[in-house]
Amino acid sequence: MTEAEEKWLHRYLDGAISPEDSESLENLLRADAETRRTLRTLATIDSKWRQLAADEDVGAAPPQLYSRQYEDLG
Amino acid sequence: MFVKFQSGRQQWNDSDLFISSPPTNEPDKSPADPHEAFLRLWTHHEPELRAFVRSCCPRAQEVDEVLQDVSIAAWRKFSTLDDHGAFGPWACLIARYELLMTRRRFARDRLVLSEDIVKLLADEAADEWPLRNRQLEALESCIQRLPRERREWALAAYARDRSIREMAAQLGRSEGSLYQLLARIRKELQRCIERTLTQAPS
Repeated sequence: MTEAEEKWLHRYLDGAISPEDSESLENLLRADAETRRTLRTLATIDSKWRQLAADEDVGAAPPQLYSRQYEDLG
Repeated sequence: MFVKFQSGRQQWNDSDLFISSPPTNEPDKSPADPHEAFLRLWTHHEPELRAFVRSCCPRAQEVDEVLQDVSIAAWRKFSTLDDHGAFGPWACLIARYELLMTRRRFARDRLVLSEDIVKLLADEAADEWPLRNRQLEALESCIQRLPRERREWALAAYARDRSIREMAAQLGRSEGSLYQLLARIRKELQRCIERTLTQAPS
């Protein structure tokens, strides 16, 4: 899988994929079992984060907190 | 109780579903009370089902709604499931039908996968059900091993009541840079899962 194809999968999961890339991703998913397997793995990771965030109720975290964490990540 | 019942929904024929599940060697430890048996099985398999539904739902917000519909449909069909050891793949195929019905409701939406792809994803997800379980176990430890800053930032990014757009505005960063960071974290975890499963005895 190319870097661009991998990026389509991440943008798809973020709900931020363009219509053109969405069509390309569909063609790839239709043709390539490895891409489908990667999508299921990335979706597993994504759904786990969402579940953890819901369980920990981190929605109320003030922007200053994640701002500092973002800076720490460079 | 998380199972709600709705009226007027489209019903399936039993023949539409994968009712005769493949036999397993697991001893049947199901409680005699079907409600209890169903709840235990649903709770046990819900993370794998959620992961599969997420792969077919570009809008993460729809996952809970689809899962609730799957739980209703699965409960209605539960008495027809002979082998409770095959609950996961069986519920996955029920999820496939629910996703296809959801897809038809949003057929004009560009962010909806085609029916043939949903079917492929579902059939393969049902086949690799034990792998999904092992991936989720590996993922637990991989997330724990992430640096604290990375873990806490990801949790903030995934918070239900905040969008990436809002977060980017608050941070004075572009949405793209935040999406890139999320993708990096997911890729890191993907590699960690692969390493963990490669090292684990099968």
